Amino acid sequence: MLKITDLSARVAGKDILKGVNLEVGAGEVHAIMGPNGSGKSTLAQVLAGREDYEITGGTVTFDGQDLLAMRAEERARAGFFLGFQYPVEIPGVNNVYLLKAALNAKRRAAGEPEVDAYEFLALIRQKMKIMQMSEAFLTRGVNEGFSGGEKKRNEVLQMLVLEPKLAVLDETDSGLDIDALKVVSAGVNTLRDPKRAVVLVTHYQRLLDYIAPDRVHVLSGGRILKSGDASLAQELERRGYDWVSESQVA
Amino acid sequence: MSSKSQEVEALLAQKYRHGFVTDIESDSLPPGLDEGVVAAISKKKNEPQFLLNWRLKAFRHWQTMREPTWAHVHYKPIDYQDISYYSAPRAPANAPKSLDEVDPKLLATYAKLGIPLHERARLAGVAVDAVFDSVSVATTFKDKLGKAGVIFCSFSDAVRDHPQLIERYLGSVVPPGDNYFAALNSAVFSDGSFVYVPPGVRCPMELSTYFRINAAKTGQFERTLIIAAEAASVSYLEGCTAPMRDENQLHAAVVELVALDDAQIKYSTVQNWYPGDENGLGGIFNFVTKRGECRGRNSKISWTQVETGSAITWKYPSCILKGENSIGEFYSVAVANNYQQADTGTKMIHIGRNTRSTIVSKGISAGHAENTYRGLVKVLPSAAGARNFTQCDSLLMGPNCAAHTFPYMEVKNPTATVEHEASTSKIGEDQLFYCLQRGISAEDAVNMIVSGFCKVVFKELPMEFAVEAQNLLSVSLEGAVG
Amino acid sequence: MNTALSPAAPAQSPALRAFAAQWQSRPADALWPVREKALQRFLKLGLPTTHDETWRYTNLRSLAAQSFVDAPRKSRSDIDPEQPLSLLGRTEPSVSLLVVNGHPVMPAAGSLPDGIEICSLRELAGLDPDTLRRFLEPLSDADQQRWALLNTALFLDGLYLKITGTVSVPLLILHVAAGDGADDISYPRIVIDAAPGSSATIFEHHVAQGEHTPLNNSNTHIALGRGARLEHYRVYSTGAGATHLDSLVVRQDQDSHCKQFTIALGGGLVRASLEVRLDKPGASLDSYSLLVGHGDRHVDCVNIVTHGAPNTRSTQTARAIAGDVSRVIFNSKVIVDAGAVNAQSQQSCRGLLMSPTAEIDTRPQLEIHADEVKCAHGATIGRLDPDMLFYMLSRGLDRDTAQSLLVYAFLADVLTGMSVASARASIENALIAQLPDSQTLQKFR
Repeated sequence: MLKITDLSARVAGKDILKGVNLEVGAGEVHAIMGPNGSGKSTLAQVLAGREDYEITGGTVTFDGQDLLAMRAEERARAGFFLGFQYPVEIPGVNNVYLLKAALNAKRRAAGEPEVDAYEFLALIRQKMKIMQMSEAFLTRGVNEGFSGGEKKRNEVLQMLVLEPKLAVLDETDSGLDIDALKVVSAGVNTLRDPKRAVVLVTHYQRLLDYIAPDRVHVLSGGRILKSGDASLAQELERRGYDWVSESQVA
Repeated sequence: MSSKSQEVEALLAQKYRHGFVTDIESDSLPPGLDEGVVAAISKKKNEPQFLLNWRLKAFRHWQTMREPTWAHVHYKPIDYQDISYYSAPRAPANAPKSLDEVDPKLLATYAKLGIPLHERARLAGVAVDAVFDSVSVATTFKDKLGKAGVIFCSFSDAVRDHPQLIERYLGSVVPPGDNYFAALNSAVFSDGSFVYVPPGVRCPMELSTYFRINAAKTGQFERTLIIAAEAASVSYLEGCTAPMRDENQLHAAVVELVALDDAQIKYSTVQNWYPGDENGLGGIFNFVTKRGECRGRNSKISWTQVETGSAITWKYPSCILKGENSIGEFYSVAVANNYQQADTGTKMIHIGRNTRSTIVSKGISAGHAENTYRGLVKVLPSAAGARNFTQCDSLLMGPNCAAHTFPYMEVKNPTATVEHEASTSKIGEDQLFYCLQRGISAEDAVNMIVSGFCKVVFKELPMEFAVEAQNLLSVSLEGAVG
Repeated sequence: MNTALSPAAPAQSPALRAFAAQWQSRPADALWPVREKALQRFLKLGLPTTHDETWRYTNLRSLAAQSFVDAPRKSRSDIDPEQPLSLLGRTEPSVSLLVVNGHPVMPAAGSLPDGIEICSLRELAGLDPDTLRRFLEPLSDADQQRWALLNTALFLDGLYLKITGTVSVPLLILHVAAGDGADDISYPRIVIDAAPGSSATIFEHHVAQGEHTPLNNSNTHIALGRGARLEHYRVYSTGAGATHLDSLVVRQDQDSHCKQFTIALGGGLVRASLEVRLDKPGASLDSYSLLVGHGDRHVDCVNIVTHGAPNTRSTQTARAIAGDVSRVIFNSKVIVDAGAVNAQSQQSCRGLLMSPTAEIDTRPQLEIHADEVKCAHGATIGRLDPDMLFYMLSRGLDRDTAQSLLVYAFLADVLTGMSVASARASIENALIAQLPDSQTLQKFR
């Protein structure tokens, strides 16, 4: 579904990604772990199409299409979803309006009819129940005044409504207490499906107790240094990231 | 708070600690200003022809100009013919060649000011150029600086020894006709300081100038020029005092800074000119033009000022951000008590791409004072990605003072981000009460609160100045509990 | 202050000569002395130059060469009936009053709702000159008041609205500018006199028709009695050839409240000044400015709010957008007089630059002469937040839609302050029509 080959990118004149290779198949859940500053978030932003990141090399195909040739909104409509590490607040733009506009943009692109207000409300209520969110969220501005945890729930809610083929969740577990973590994980798990894939970008192994990954990768210094199954995450938790970097150097 | 008002009034009678007159014979020109006076100043200093021409041009331009009226300050018209434009301490021989030759009375004056010229412990590492009235008297640490290749000397010496640098840079940041007071200065400036830091050199010590106006009926018109060549850096400190006199004295200085590629200049001022007495009699008119140009890429100019003195302050240390990625900073504490008036702030002119500026201004008003922040942030069409953040806060102490905030934001590039925040409030009674309840005296409490208010600026000052600034602040605000 | 006419001697300029000539043609009535004083002061000040602090960003030099003449007096039949007569839509019950080139077209008797009485200024000058005189005195000697002085000297007629009680429907004053020649000038003048305890909503909508739009030197003077409440809108929808030199003066008595909207959607050069005095304790003002620059439009909005008494409160919310080669200026000054303790003021001005050739200038000023105050202001100028934009794109929205939504959100703080739903709707419509993706936005509302 997603194939990243030798991807390099720079931000503000600094090389951050230095040849990333990664393949994610349909139905799989991958976790990308790594120390702070390893390039995890940059990778997520580059995949989503952020313009101030300069691609210096490599290719990315998504569902057979050249992802890097698509604009951010085209990627979204093709079924790529990024759960932001720091979701931006957009005062004055209604939360539910944004969601509806996003869903309809996607449906239009797919040649499907737009949902009407009634259908949409029914849909969103159902998804909000999964995420244990109150109705008040509907009427507020996008992420406006949300706590860190509320913002993350809102990200997952958007994902559930948009039903992407591939979701990249950037540190969606950070800033969550244990109850919220369970809710968010449950939300993500409802989307697991043989036709979809999820990439979890995370610093800690904790999230992986709730969303079991098929593959775990360690990103450090702009490269994937090590890949393995779920047990790799546990080993990392025990031995720290230095272990990977050192073993690589050696 | 009414119970405190008597105590307040009593305490408001603040004392100016630097208000003594030094009894020294001085060599002065009689009051008055015409082309003859300009030529006489130039001649006294044995200046090359180009400088005399430059002065005369400035003088002629000045005669066509009007004194600016836009500042929020009020004063009786200045009689420019009643000022002496040159006053030099009369030395036994010619200029002193070493500290030993300096008039001992002068040295005693500096000792009284707490600014020793000798290499004493407190100032270890600080090179001082002292400007007494209009003439630079001595420069310390010449040797050590010389080894590093740094030129630090009086302006007159620079004219004599480095005329090519003077000709190249003088007036290149503040043109002679820039404004009324700058034009006047350009015509009659008598001395000042000159600094040149060659490429790649980090100036090995803080440089410092201490200014003092001594003679009566004298204007002081010094000129400072600092050039940091490619990848050079320098930190420069400036302090000012003047004796107590009943009449107002004019101080119209010009400071020009030039930072080339990757260079950094940090310019700190503690200004404590005589502010006049508690009834507003006397005091210095401090009408100063200070401007730095970040001419090179990645250059940085940082102004820090603590303004506690002067009857009237009219001063806007500014940055022209020409070089790509260059940075301008302005950190200011301005205190006005009794009948002081301050109209001060900065200009940040963004010309180059990705230029950044930060303005932090803290104004404190007490007594019957008027304190105005006036600042311009201008982003030209060429300054893509420019950013500015401005914060200016005013603190009012007492019901008769005033605090004004006049920011100007002019933006011509859509990729720029300019932000301004301002607040005006009274010193917090809750905070005061809290301190009092803990047994702290009202005065100490005010000092603590005001210091906290100004902390973000003080931390920009070099260590030895920060202490002095802190002390000055408490002296200036003695008893000004609202 | 100049003692001679002006250093540049603009008394010699055709414009000033023309104003003096117009003055000669005005009738000598009971108000002559106060009007003559205003004229003299205006001539002394002369036309503003960019050296005047409050005129720093607006250059009126080109006016000096014009030999102005009074715009023609027209009747209802001269006005194009297709003119969109109402900002309020057909569904909203409202009352419209027509003013053409400053001359009111008086409504039929009995067509006004309860709580309001009107008469023309020409009538009032004869019947009750003392009342009118109260509304001719300038509020301050601020330089920016000079065009109000000219209007005081030269207005020919206008409307006096006496609000005596609660007026249940919004009142719309439609100012139509319709000139015959390029040198036409008009001096519309409105006086709103709100009695203690009264309340009303009043719109002033400036439109133009025909080839020539007279220079509009308009003036509105509002006095709010004790406890009176007024929601006032002035909306400029004229074409690119129109020049507005508009002054609005508000004087507020104890516990009165004024909500004021200045909305520039049109006009070539708009200089809109607002001067408010919170004269008595408890008076409060909420002012909103929505300034949209397009093409080569020049919009200069100047507010001065003076807290002249204890326990007064003011807020100012300004949103400026500049595209193409337009220039939008927002100047605002809050003055707290000595003794006006517990004054509270908030200024928020935000500018959005949409084009590399546009410019926004802003000066949020504070002049504080009392210590027991809480005053703050915040100002920003920039583009649409790239993070917000990216977030919306990453959810699949079109770039145009996302941008339009963000612009709309940017304006929300002003729009949500509007109490009259139909007016808000039509102002939003006018705004949205100027945004890149107006269609989606229409649905959004």
